[in-house]
Amino acid sequence: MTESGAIYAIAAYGIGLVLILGYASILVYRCIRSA
Amino acid sequence: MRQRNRLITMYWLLVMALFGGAMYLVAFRTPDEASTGPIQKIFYLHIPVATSTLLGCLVVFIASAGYLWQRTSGWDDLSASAAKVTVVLCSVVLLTGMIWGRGAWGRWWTWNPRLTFSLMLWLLYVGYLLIRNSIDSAQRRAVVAAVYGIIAFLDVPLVYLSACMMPESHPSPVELDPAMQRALVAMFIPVTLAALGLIVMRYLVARDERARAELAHRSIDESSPEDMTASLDSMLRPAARLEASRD
Repeated sequence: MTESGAIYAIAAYGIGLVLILGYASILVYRCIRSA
Repeated sequence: MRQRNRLITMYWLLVMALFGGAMYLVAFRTPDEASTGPIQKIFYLHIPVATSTLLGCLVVFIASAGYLWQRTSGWDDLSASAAKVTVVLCSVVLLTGMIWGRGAWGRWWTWNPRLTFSLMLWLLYVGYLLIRNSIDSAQRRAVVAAVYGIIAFLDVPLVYLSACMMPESHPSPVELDPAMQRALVAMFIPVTLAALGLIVMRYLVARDERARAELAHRSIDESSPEDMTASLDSMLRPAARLEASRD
């Protein structure tokens, strides 16, 4: 139970951070290119 | 412009460093919650992102009201930018909540009021973006989107109040020990900064795109018929030459 709980937590952080920071990196690229 | 790029790079490096610090606190400096175990650590991300989602909805609401009041394109761009960021953040809230539900309840989804209102919030802002894409006239699009942005905000109090009115439908707040409180605050800072940074950057991209489109439009309007003929002629000359060589 504890081990699978940790796996779920890692999956949630992985998905969350990839979405937020991935979108940020796309916007940084577009922002710098359009300047 | 170079200074703006440097500022953007520095800002995101700072946000990533703060994320790194917060992750360290969550992973190694907080105890597991007694009843649920390590899966409870999802909430250090879930709660700040949910709060930032509501912040994004508030920005859409204020910018929509600002547009209806002043009718300037800046408010419209801000509203559209905040709506896009809100959809991304709300997706993170739903996904992290679903993963928690699978681990803790054994189900990815239940139709309880808070989850349903959160899904509705996501659908409302996806609808906002679809409506914007479906209207060609810029002025009409801005007015319809502004009215929609104000109406969509009505779902926000429902998301917030649903947990207070029906506490059995969502994990209720528990007493956190000081290490847990520190980790939660440490995660709130980069998540809020990231949400604000995303809105500002999307807004800057939208402003640059609008300025470029207006410049292109103006240069077409200002060019004389002779200029237009000359540029058309220069474009068609290679084709005519190719045609002649074939003959």
